Amino acid sequence: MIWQAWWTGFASLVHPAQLLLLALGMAYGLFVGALPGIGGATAIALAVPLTYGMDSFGAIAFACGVMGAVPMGSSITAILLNTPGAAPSAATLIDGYPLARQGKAGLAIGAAASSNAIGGLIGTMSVLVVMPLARRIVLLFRPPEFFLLGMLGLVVVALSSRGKMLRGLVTAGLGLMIACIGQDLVTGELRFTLGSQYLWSGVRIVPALIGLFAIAEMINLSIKGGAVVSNADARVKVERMSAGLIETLRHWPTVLRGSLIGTVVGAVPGVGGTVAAFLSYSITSQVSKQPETFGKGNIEGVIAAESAINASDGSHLIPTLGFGVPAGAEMAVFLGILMLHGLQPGPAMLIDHQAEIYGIVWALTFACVLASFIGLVCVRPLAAITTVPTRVLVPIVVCLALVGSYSVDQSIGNVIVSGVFGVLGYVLIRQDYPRLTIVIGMVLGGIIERSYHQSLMMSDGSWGIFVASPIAMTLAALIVAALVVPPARLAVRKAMGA
Amino acid sequence: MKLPAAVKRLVLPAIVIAGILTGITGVRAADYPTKPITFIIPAAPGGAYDISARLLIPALQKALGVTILPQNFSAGPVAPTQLYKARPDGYTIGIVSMPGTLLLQLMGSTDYDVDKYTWLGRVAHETYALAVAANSPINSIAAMKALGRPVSFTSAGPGSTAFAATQLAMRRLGLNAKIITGYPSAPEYILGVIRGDGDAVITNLTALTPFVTSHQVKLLLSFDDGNAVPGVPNARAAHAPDLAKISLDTLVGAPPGLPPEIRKRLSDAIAAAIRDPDTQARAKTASADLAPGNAAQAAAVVAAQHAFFTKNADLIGKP
Repeated sequence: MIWQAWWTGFASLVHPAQLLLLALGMAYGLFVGALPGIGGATAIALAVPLTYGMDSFGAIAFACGVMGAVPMGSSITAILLNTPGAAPSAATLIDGYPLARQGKAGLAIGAAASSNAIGGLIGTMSVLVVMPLARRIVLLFRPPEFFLLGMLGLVVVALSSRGKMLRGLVTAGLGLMIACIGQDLVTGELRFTLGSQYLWSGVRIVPALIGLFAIAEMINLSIKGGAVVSNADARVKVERMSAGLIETLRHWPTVLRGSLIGTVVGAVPGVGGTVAAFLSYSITSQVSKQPETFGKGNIEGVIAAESAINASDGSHLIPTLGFGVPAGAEMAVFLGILMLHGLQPGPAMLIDHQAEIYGIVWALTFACVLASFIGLVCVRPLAAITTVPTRVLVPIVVCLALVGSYSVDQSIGNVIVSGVFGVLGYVLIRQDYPRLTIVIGMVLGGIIERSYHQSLMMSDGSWGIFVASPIAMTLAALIVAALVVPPARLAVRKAMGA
Repeated sequence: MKLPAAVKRLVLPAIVIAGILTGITGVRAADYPTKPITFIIPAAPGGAYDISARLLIPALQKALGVTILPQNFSAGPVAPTQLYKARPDGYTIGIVSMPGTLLLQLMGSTDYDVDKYTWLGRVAHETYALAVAANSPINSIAAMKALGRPVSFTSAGPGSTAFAATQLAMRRLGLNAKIITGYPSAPEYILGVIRGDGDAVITNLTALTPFVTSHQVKLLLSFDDGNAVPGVPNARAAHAPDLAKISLDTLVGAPPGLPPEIRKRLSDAIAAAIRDPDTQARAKTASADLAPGNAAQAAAVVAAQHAFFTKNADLIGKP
């Protein structure tokens, strides 16, 4: 029965009209994804009217083409220009951009593309397997589990700021404080909004990311001069197209780990690809034998982030289709498109519209793999961007970044936020403080605070709720392990060295 | 070419003043509309308001003969303020959710007055309802009262319509209850009840229906005084007729001071767009219930909601 649905979904997609729409969606997704700030949600939202005239399979093919291709486009600008197209790619740039500065942009994009494809394949294939169990998985995560998942993310990231632990904690604290700005969803109170209506919804992540990374880097570059490639004499090394792929295959445990983290985290509504990418990156740097090389251009960092991003994109389908609860902003728009075409996501859809469900999974799989292939093909011309002189590059990137920031929700407030965070980012670069931990604090702050209060409301103030379920106990154990294992490993190494 | 001094002194200022005056008085109503119209949507793409607006837009474009540009804003006071402060020239209209927009105003710190918008019509009217998880042992309001412990409701935070509706229900039904707040959207607090974060949820029927049809939640009470959900007791049956005063209305409005001719043109176009067979067909496909109303009905909704919440301000939960 399920095989029949798989096949029907596949057959519905392998049709000239559907494949054309998929290809158009991909081309559009790659282009828009590469523009700073315009993530998947905005990209699909702009395309909603185009789907009016399509049948449900056509709309699915087009939308999945966009969703599957956006991460690849977004990663390209993250690696080349330190400017994430969408929020999750901020994890890619931590090592991707240093690689570009070393003249290894080709290698980084190649690895990103191949891990993106493999992660996407694993993510979407896991959906095929997991979809019948979707309901159980989604119901496992309640506010106490959300809280512990958020805490695990914070702990892992704090630890990954190796050698700069205190500085990492300072900027993570800053991120948590920024996350407090806006209306408190639990009490309805307005906090630190300075009388500005823009700040009711808090500081938007994407404009802040654009400031912290793109604007700050452009300020830095324009002061230093030269080009993205740090050594003026260095030539951009564009290895054979297969070099990145080989790196990805060589680090298969990282790909598998990233895909697994992406799949699990992506299936939890409200957490999203950003957390998955950062969690995968941080854990990979934790278990690495050369943790000190992360952040300085370790290809494993790119692979860890990318495999998690696309895997989470696939598993976002689990709560979205299984429950009608969108896993993130992008899925919210996709859900709207499905509803406009008469498909009501939820358990009934799992039974009544299996062909469409598996059509979505296949379309997303095709789009992930094909977009990555296009990324690989384009490595050589794209990598040349890193040799463009600063005087040409900076004005173009700043313009694109600020337009992207504005376009998130057509607000001039976003542009101001990008400017403020740009200056903050530059100060942090100069003072050698990590910027990553601010982002993590901002992303996780809201989830942690809200689910903590909800858990205590549920339990009438008893902390026992945080260890009341097997998942909660597992997450609590992982937090303890994350805190205990690295110092223990260090102690063992020291003892062995002595 | 050098302009004579007289031209510089008289004609140029006259052109500037004429330009300013044209700007102030706006376009002539007879010519309206001559350029694209911005349609403000007070929610992110994909949500219920976005779907309502986008269902309407193609037929509205047909009725007015110009492009309608949807502009999404995040939830909160920004969208209603943008609409309120736009020039009243008919080129900015938008969705206004009621009572959501009113509750934001009553919470304070907003720069608009819901009584002063120019109302153009109503797109949708949704009834509220109380639901529990499908596998819950609670099967009636009476069983809820007999639990022997506080009933826990999942909801959005103070200032939201769902929170106000839950507070109202707790009082009028005489429930010993607590509200677990903090859920960012209706699907999330409904999911909260399904996975057992709380016992019950109160929200609009449009949000609940998919979960009811998929047998994940069951309805115990509908907040209407008619027969919105066959087989489910209504507000009157629960001896709480006040509950019917809470509903969710999707209105279309324009800035205060819109010239009457333009207002009529827009109201007629919106009514025609809702009646349009293509709109109706798309609404049916999207399972969206359109409940058209004219400008007067929209204004009446606002007046009734304002009177109700002014009298029952404590329901809002203002911090």
